[in-house]
Amino acid sequence: MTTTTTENIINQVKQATDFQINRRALQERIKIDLHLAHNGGLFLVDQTLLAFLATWPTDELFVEDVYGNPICCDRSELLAQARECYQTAMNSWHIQHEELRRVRKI
Amino acid sequence: MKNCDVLEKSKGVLIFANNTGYIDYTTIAARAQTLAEHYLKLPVTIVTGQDFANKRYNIDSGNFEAWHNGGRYLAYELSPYDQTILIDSDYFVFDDNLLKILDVVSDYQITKTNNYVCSQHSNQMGQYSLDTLWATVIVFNKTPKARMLFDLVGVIERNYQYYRDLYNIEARNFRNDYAFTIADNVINGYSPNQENYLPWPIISVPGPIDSLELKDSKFYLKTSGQALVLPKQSIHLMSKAWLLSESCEQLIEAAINA
Repeated sequence: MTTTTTENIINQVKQATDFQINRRALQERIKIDLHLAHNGGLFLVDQTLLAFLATWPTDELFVEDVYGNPICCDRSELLAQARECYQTAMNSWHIQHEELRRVRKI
Repeated sequence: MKNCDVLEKSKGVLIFANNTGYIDYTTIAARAQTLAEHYLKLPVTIVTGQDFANKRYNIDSGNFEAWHNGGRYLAYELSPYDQTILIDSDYFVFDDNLLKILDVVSDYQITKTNNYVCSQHSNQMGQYSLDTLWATVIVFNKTPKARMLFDLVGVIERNYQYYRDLYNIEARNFRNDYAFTIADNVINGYSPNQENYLPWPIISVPGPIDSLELKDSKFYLKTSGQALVLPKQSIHLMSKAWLLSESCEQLIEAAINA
C-alpha cells in the first residue's frame, strides 16, 4: 500500500461523519428540550419526576427545581405538562436517532 | 379573568455589532436578528457605534485584526426591555428554548458551559484562574443585582490590565467573557451561584466552516477535518467569513421557510 493510498484512506475516514459525536450532540439537545418552566421554577423532566408526580397523594406540593429552589406546584397541572414535554422530546429523540443511524456516512 | 393592574414585562433580544475594517458585524447581526425574531417571536434591538480598540485572532485569515468588543456593559442601560436576551452577533438562534429562561430568571443568567463540536478547549481564563463564563448568551432582568453586574463589567473593562494580573488571565486582549466571569465572581461573594448560570450548554463551531446546510431539521456541517450531523439547535458560529457568505444567507432562508 503506497503512502498516497494511506493518506487517501485517512482523509476519507476524517470526512466520514462520527456517529458517536452526532449521537452525543443529539442527546444534549434533547436534554435541553426536556427542561420545563413551571410556576417560576425550571424542571428537568425525567422518569423520577414523572413517577414522583404520578404517585404523590395530594394536589399541592413543593418540588425542587434544577436551581435547588422549592417551587410550589399544582401536582396534576405539572404532571400533565411534564408528560407532554417528555413525550414530545422523547419522540423527537427516537426519530432523529433512527435518522442518524441511516446517515452514518456523509 | 386577566388582572389588568399587573403590567406584563417587556421582553426582547439585544445584539451588539461594531464593524471593523475587516468584518461587517452589522450584516452578521442582521442575520442573527432574522433568526431570533423568527424563533423567539420577540423584538430585536441591534446596538452599534462602540469603537473600543482591541485586537482578535481571525480564525479564517490567521491574522490578528481590529476588534471593537467593548461597551457590552452598556447593555443594561441601552436595553429597552424589562427582560433581555443579550446575544453575540455570531450566536444564531434556531429554537425557542431561551424563552424558558425568561420565565425563571431572577437577576441574570450567563452561559457556563460552551461545548465545541470539533475540538477540545481550555475552559479556564488562565492556569491558576477561574473557569470562564461565556458572554455569548446572557439573559437578564432590570434588577439592582443585574445592574451591579453590568456596572462592574464596565469597571473591569476600564481597568483591564489590573484585573488581568489579579485573576492570572493568560490572554492579553480584553474579552467580555472574562469581564463577566470576574464580575459574577465578585458580586456573588467570590463563590459560584448556580442560579446565575444557564442550565444547559451552548454549542459552538470554533473553526473555519467548509459547509453548513440544513436538511430535514438537521445541520450537515463540514469543516476541514470533520463532518458532523447535528440536531437543529441554536449555535455559536465563530467563522465570520462563513457568517458573511451566501451559504449563510441560504441557510437562514431554509430555516425560515422550513
